[in-house]
Amino acid sequence: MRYEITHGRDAYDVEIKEVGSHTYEIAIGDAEPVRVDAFKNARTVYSILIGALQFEGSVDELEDGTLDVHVGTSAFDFSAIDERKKMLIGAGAGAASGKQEIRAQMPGKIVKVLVNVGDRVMLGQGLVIMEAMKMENELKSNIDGVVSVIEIGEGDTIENDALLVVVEPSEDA
Amino acid sequence: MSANPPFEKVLIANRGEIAVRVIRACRELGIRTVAIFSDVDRNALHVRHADEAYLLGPAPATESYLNADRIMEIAKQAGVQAIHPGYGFMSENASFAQRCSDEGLVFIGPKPDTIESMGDKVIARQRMQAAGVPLVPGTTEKLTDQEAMDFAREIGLPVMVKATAGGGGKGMRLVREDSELESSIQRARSEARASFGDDSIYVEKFVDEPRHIEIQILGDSHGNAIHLFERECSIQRRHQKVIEEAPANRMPEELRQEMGRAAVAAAKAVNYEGAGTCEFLVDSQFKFYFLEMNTRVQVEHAITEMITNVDIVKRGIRIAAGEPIGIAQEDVSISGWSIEARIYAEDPEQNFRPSPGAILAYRPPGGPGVRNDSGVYPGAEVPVNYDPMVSKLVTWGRDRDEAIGRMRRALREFVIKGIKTSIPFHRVVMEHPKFLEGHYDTGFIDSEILPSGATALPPNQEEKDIAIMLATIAAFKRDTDRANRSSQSTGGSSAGSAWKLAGRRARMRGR
Repeated sequence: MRYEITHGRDAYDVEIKEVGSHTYEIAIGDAEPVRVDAFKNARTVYSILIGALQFEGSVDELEDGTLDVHVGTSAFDFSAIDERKKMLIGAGAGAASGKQEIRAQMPGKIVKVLVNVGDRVMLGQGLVIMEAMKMENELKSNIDGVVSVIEIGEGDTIENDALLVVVEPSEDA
Repeated sequence: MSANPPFEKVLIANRGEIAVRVIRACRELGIRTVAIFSDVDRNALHVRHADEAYLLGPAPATESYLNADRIMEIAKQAGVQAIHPGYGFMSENASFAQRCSDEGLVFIGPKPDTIESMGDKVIARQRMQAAGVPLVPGTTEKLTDQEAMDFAREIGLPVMVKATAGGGGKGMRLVREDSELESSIQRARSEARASFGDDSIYVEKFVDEPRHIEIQILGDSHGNAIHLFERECSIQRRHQKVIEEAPANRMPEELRQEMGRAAVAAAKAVNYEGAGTCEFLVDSQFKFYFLEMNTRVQVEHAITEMITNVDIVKRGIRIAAGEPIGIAQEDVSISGWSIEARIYAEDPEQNFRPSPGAILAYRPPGGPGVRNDSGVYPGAEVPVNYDPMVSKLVTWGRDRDEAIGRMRRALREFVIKGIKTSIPFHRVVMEHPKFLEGHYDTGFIDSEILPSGATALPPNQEEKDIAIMLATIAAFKRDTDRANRSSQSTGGSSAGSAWKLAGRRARMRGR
């Protein structure tokens, strides 16, 4: 299976194949596949063997799906999506249906509001640009529809999970 | 078991690591232990170490660990002879200490009037001045411009000119040069007038590059008092100690002797009984000034135990039973170096936000020179209701380098999952040049660590590659588990949907 692992602005294509009990062959980008023995039970963290090299690490999946990974003394926040899902999102087949409430995934600041109430928007169209953790993020519509509510204005500071914009499916959609 | 236990049974009026620490001391002395716990602490470690345990009540401290009526009720029910308050909660509560003695119980700590007088800043200052303990020179009387200037010159610059009605930094002026003295006094006055409607000012010595250095003391009911040398506790965040060392860095032997003598004089001045601490500020010129006396065992007592081989908690219990200290000043000496890192349930990356929760995986460090005084174990919870300290990681070495090396190694071994901890932050300090030099003051975290935003070590490339692989493995396992679960449930429900699934798989393969 192929995954795209993203870390901030960096993205890595990773191919993984299960080759035995807790053993995998993993290739990052164009590198040669490496055999990785990653052992863990319910009460421990991972012990990773690559050949004879041993590392300890842990992975915690946060509520928003972010993978909080610790190895040795380093810590990383990754997101991982598999190739199939990526294709689905790309093709728009992952579109949701019904009324969509766009909420803040983390506390931050509204940089720009790209739409007005009553605007027709398309799937994937940007609605709001938000700054959180020093990075700008564009929040997009996940349906074709009409903007029915805008709860925020430019420059607003917002809490995690605050309602930003509501998009209603248009009649003819 | 000890030949003559000082008490038969002791109630430990505390929770967390210090309750465990006191229970350990009692057990070594052959004393039966009684734990108390609130609703949220049924699963706490101190309960599991005790011989008996009693439910106090609801989680809020006022209804549990601060509920004197309930604690006394349990003490009587359990038939204890003494109560050990640990630190925090009841430990510096003079009326609780008085109540213990009124009701025929021994409060393991100093006498109520000692606690009371050291708890009042003004009285403490007067008592210490009378005992010849140096204080930050200053006056709280209102001064005229001329008086203020004369006094400033008398105690020597730098000084702080402060508004009598002041607070929050308003009407406060730091004066380093004699030429600025007059104008600074006038500006402090006008600021004070504008802010508080009162232009009275006073002058206090400014402690430059202040270091927090404290002296451990032991006193007994026979009039003896000794000190167990110093600890440096200058690494603080918001006035909370985070890392402590014993002995102190940059500590001339004469200063050590002088501070030790001052602490013993302070102890004798208040007839101190048990374990206590004299806190001092030491400035860049190696002058020291009394801050306050803590009339209880300190969080950081363990590092003193490591360098002196004196069990402070056990000594405190024996002293409470009327025994003498049993150690003469000339019998204690400093052996090696010890460092403590306080491990808190907090997220250094999120501005040290508390991170309570269940401990899912826990593997404390071990090996030579490592001591971990902890209040948790795998399966324990860190409740939101109390102090978030989960563990005190202490290392000892023949010298400071060895103690630091062991601390780095122990911080690397330490696994705590389920909650965020300050372990990554401690790793940063253990690599910081100023810390390694041993040259820092109480401004260290604010000026050296926080501005850079580096509350964890920078990740290295090798570990990053491993982390990418681990993320992929976790995502793969998550997705295959999900797929297995859904195919099992679908397969079990009806033949029709199993066909549908097979068809979908076939289409997938076809792509």
